[in-house]
Amino acid sequence: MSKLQTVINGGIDYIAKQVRQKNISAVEVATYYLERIERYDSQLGCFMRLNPHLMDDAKKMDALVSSGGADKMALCGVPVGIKDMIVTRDLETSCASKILEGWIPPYDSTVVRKIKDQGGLIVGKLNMDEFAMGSSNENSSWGLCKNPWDIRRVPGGSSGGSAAAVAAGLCAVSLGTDTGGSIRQPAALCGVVGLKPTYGRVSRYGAVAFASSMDQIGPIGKTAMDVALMMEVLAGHDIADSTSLRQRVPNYRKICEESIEGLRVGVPKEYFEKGLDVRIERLVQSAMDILVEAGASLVPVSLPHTKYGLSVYYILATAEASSNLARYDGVRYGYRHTSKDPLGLQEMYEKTRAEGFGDEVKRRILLGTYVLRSGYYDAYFNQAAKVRTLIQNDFRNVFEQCDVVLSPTSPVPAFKFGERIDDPIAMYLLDIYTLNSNLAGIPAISLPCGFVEEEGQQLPVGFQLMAPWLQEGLLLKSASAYQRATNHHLQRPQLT
Amino acid sequence: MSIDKSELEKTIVMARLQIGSADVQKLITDVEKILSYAEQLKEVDVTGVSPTFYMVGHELPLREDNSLNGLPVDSILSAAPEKESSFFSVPGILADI
Repeated sequence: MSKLQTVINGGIDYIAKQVRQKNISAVEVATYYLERIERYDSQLGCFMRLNPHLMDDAKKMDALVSSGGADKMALCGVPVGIKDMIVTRDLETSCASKILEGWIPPYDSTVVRKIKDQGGLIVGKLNMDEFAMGSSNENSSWGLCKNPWDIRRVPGGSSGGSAAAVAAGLCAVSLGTDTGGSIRQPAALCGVVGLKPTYGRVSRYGAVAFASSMDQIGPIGKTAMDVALMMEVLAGHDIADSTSLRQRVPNYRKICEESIEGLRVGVPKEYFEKGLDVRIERLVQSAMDILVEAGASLVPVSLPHTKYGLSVYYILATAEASSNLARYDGVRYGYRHTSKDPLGLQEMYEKTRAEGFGDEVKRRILLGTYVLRSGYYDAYFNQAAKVRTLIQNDFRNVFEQCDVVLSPTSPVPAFKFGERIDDPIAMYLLDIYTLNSNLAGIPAISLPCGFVEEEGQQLPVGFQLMAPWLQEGLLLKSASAYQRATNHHLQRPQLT
Repeated sequence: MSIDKSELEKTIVMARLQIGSADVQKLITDVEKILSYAEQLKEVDVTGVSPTFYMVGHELPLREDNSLNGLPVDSILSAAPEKESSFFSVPGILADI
């Protein structure tokens, strides 16, 4: 194996260290990934656009290393892919929507600024479902993103590009956003690790808003250790986001090395009921066995309001989205309907939005507007907000009996394009295990736990761990212990 | 549950959308399906339960009153589909005077 490949395989901490110590250059690392993108991405469709300055940025990083200015940079020379939902200065950010096509932001999101401050290199913008609405990446205005394990299948969504790019080795690590499972579900379907942090743990400044009380930015990587390092960079209070929490950021990598002896793992019966693929259930059961061998104990628990999560989510998230997406009116940025005939303001708004938004986005705006109307508000919105409180209380009670909760991430493995797109409920059900943690605001992680075979192809399966508010350390520690005992995360798809 | 088509059409206007007549029926079916699914929420006893709208506390911490650099007007305006001098331009909303 070449020296470069050994460095790449060593994880992002190791890449940064090798670049800092000049054992390898940032230019060599960036070239490695650019060559892979050139070779494989025309088929996969992960990147919607590349950062045209990547090589210049890498050269500058090498110069900084030579001058001694990069000694403390945690991501020195590490190539990072960014979901197109996250604002990047001078690099188009469209949320995979026609309505934002061509928008060049004049500022960086806080997370992107933090990555750059730590020496990370921005590779480009990753494919997604339009405005993060979808679970298969089929709602992208830009085009399909394919699962690197089987290109006839979806990568999951909405952060499909972010998960597929890491799985295919097109960037070292990536950022996604998660409103109802959009980091964890694609991570599971692509065989990588994805973390949704506690609500408020990571600044949302510069994350385009979908459902503001649920949205969180989080990292996707090959290992729990890579994700831990990313969290050290991303987490923390930000003056530009009033919902970001004023809490100390722990040394997550150090926590990853701790033993899980005595860890109480809650197993909620509601997450193992009908609808779950039996092969996935078996793999998740064996993941439990591995954790037990590593010193954990299993505790049967109950989260009785789980089954209402989907309804609560689709009322509250669409209501918030209908309000957040009102800003796309063709006035200040993005697409605007033009016509030879003079139009009134109202008509300009309507035509702009009708032509700029895709079908799923329109469906959700409409549903959200409907449930917020007077006369329906109490029956839908207010009732859902009350059941949300009960879902939070469920978690509060369960975390008195256990330290983390374990479940499958997705009820099914990667499915074929077109299989679910015509039935919104069938698509929404894919998030059944992930969206309750967004409703409760708690952190959750998905990591690979094996494979199932479909038509001769190996498809990855993931399991999920959820922890109390701000206990990302517990998730990363458990995930690391699991990955020390297994090698599922080391498997890579055969690309052609 | 069934939804009154005219109510949904009113909502389309409120949401500043336009939906072609061929698509309206499909949209009504979809929204009906989702709302029927959500009917299950009615069976939950929420007596005495407060709704959750925000995920973090309600305190509004004050910061020091220091001026910060905002974004230059030109950089904001450069993204506008139509502009006139330093203003966003929109179709007229008043009759000619």
